[in-house]
Amino acid sequence: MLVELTMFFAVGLFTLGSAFLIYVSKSIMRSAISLALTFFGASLALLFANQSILALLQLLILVGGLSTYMIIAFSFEKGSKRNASLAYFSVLAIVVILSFILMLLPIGESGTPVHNGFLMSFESLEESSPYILYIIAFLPFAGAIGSILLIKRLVGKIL
Amino acid sequence: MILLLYLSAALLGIGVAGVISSRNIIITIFSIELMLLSSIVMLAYGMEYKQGAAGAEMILAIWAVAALDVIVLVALYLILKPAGSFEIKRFSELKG
Repeated sequence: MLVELTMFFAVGLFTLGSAFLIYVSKSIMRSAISLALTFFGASLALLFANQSILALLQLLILVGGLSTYMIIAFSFEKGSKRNASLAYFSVLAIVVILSFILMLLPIGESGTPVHNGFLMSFESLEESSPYILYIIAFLPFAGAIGSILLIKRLVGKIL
Repeated sequence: MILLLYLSAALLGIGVAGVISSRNIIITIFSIELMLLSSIVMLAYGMEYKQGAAGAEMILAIWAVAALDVIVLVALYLILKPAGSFEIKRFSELKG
């Protein structure tokens, strides 16, 4: 219970901090990335209501679809080259840190250990916690957004 | 977990404050997205509290509204970008 509460506070602070960053950021691109992180944090919060399917769907629709669409549209903005690079590294760092934390924590649906962190085999994936399935679903979208920003950094513009 | 309601209320508060205080059209629409997000979190808590699936269809409707919101946002961005200003006063310049 204590671990769950701590994780909820971490997710809540992450969500509210990202929501606050929308107004602090000077670039619209950065605001859009903050909004994407807010969507991500809210979908993590849905896991605490035992709605893992809704959390995955929210990840697919809001983070995977809408945020990627917004970031592509806003990457037309002039002078956002340096911002996109910084944002790329920020997104990448957050993804890597969250992946490590969530995959190392041996927490199941009812708070019982179900695997041994990275030692978990794919055979036991179906019995694993929704957190693991969630992060596996999240990684392709983080990779997609990161790739868009990396192309923006390397080529200078998209399309 | 009842703390989800507090998270929902905080997101709603941030969204309302953004709509009231921001003069930028893009940030205003972002704030509306935050308010929609807060309603999703609240409905998810309601589904957990009632132990049923009632409310899932409302969440689907909210996702649809959020998607339409983003489409309008990107259209407004592309229309207003050439002038370089996203002031909310420029809504009056839009003609359908």
